[in-house]
Amino acid sequence: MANLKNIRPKALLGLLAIALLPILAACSSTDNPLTTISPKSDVADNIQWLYKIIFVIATIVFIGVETLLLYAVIKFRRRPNDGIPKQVHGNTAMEITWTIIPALILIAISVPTWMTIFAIDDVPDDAYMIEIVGHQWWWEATYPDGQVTANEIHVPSDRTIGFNLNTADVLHSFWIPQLFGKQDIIPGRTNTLWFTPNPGTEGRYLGQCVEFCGISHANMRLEMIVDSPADFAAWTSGLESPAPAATALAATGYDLFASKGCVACHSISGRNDAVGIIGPNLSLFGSRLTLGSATLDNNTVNLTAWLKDPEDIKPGNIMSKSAPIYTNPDLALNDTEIDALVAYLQSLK
Amino acid sequence: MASAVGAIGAAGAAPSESGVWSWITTVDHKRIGVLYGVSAILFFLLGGSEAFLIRMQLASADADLISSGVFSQLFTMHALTMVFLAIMPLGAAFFNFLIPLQIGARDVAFPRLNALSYWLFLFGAILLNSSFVFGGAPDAGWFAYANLTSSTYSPGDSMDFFTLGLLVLGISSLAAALNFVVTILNMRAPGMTLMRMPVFTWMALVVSFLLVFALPILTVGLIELLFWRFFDMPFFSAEFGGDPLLWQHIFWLFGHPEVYILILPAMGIVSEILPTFSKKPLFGYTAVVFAGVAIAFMGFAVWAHHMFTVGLGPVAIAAFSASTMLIAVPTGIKIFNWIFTLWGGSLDLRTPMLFSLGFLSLFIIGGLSGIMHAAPPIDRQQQDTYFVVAHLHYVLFGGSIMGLMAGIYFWFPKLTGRMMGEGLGVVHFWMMFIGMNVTFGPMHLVGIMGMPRRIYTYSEGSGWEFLNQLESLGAIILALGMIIFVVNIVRSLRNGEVAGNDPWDARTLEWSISSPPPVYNFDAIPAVYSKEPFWDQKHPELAQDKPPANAVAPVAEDPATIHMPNPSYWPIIVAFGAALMAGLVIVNPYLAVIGGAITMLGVYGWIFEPAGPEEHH
Repeated sequence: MANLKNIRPKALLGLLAIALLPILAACSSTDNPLTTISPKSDVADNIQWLYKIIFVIATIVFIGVETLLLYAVIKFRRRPNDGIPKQVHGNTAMEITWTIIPALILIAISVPTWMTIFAIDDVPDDAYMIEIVGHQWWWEATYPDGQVTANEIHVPSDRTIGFNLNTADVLHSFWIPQLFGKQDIIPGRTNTLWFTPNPGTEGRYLGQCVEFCGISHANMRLEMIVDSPADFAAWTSGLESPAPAATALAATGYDLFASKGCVACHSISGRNDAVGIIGPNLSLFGSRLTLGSATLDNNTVNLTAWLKDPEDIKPGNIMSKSAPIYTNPDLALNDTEIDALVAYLQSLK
Repeated sequence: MASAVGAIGAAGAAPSESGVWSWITTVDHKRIGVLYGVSAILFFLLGGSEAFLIRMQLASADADLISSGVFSQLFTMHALTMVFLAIMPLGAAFFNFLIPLQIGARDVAFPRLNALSYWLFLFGAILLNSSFVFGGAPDAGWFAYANLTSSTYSPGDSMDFFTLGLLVLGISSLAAALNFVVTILNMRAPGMTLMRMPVFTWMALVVSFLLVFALPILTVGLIELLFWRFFDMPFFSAEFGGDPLLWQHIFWLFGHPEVYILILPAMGIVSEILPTFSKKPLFGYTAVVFAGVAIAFMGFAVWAHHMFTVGLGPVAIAAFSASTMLIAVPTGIKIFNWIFTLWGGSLDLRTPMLFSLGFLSLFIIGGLSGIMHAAPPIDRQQQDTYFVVAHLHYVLFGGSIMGLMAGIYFWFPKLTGRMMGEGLGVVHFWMMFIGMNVTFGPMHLVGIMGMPRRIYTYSEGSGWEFLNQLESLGAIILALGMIIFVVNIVRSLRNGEVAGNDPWDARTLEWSISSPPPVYNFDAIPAVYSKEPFWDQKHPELAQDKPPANAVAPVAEDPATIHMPNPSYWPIIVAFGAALMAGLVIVNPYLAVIGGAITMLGVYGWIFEPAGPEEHH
């Protein structure tokens, strides 16, 4: 420990600055899509306000107490001619002081904490309510007018958005860190969440399930897309009237989607034969930016890989466990069929 | 630990003091302490290896070193192993070895029950880990939230190993805790009032009470889970009128006191080491003791802070937020009292002291990060992210493990008669201290960047790649540090410097007797007049409380006439029967009768076992 006395305060400040660099990096939402300290909504701003207060207080206490400790260790380290030091048994005044001061600091923290708890609790009455259902391992969203989508949830930027949260199976937790803090989803009860996007925050926001929900918990992500009111209106009307299959290959895919049994579990708006509800709704799938609940970019390579071996991408998923095309080798998709299905799904725009 | 074994055996007066049979039948609290300690260190290495594999998988984005299913088993078993099979039994090892020595007693109140506790722990631990061989280890997290644990979502036996293994371990801890409570309350040397007890023994008493009150809660939950899985009794099933949240309340009503069960022994240990190596008494003994008691009481009133995001409503979470913040007050009292124990002292920075200072500096960090998610709105961003992983490892690794390591270096000479190597000890400390900060420090940041817990993979572009690499590097440093620790133990056992009775110029009774202590501990039961009887005996001129003028020095008894309890093989038979019964329930509930019969046979033999050949009334 002898070298400790050579450390100068300036060097310590330098080290502190280096330690703080990654914190600054954590603020950048482009490099860290799940960052918790780059708020883009009123609710997230409220949390951030409280976080800053407590972070500053905690940092001051941290530096103060650790400095005191380090100072005591250096100053009172044993020297060759030390005798037995004075046997001090305590000091009531000091002990009362360090009982009361922390208590006051904690009260100072508690007041804004309670304020924030109540500020972000109740869903405002005028919120645009979207029904969310968590499934192992994907998300389903139903809009007030009955449109359904999965994993890529569009919301309008000009109003307060609310969510009713339910689960189809086990516990999940709904979280888009830049827009709102997490809310667990519990079987048997409907939890709620809400937020209002800040002005000018149209864009893509990554989210993830954060309650362990089985072996593909890590792959249960989602994206929330904050649209301008016009884009949002266009998207919802598109959900109701999808474009017809454009190419011959896609038309083959259209037929395969029924003959291979996909329709038993998946719905696609505009198709009367595809009304299954076990798997994600695939309406407008071709216009989605990601697939596999926001785990992969939605492109031909990834979609082909997904249809070939979904188990490899999302272990334990119901489709690879129970769809006949994956459980019965006689019914397995060949490469041509996969190409046709890819073309069809990509045509759903 | 072979020579520790020999060392303690050789010092004893009774026959048959060495060999495997003597260890199987031992009822000596010191030997049972050794059994607990060696087992706990082995399980610590196992739990550490599980963590190491987790860190290797997470070292890079989109890695496929370990499959998702195995990863779930690893993080579940890592937590269960560290909590129930490493830190708790390591605490029990210290309690066993030290309580009678610190209070001037010759053994614990119920020596055979003590042996039963150890064997139940060992067999329960084996049962839990045998799941790796029999179809897969528990994989729903150590918290095992319903309804993922139902027979629908967790088919197979893994969750049954969880329930039955923990039930056996729970009986073990409960029996041990009752034993320690009775020992501490009834067997203190004359003059050792409660407020003269060493702080370590005080914390042992507090932890024992916590166990007595907290474990039955878990037991109820486990039995409900068992009945749900075996007999479809839907305690936690929403569709049949149960409630998955009920499990969370039960689990954390046990689980939060459990956190204090894990940390208070370490707090007791550093409360002994800091004064010894500062050559000063503990600053504010009364405040430190009462702060420990207060923490234990409050520990039962904060459980819902693990549930801030489940939807309890704003009033409930505001109340639990307040109670959680309140618990920082007694914790702060302890920290300041420890720092001012150093103040004005003459600090000898040898290994036990280094680990104690490590404990202090790291526990402060864990405490402060805890304040952050004690605020429910912030918890909405931090819950179930790596920020919480960082927090809990600063408390349980930086706190509990560093404190327990300090204790190992401190009392190893008393246990074995030999010092641990100081050079290797210092290297071990710095590797642990640096490795711990490199592993868990960046987790704060990666948690703020939104990395969830319990994910086996993450994508490139998440922004978490570099920090995860750094954390995995830290895990390698920690692993190397643990190798040095094991080497140090083995070398010190063989040819460590001979310690003598009191190598650290210490302050409590255990240092007044030989190292290792004789089987009967004290030939003369000491008379106690102050909080630090041995220090005051060495420095009567400095003593605050002096013996009265007419005090009579205790008279030593002839070791040959000191009656010690006889060895017994019934505890291991009862424990084997109980664990076998639990294991057979998984195979076929009817077969469990076999285990039950062995247990009953053991209990029968136990009851009619003569107390000792020389018993004559």
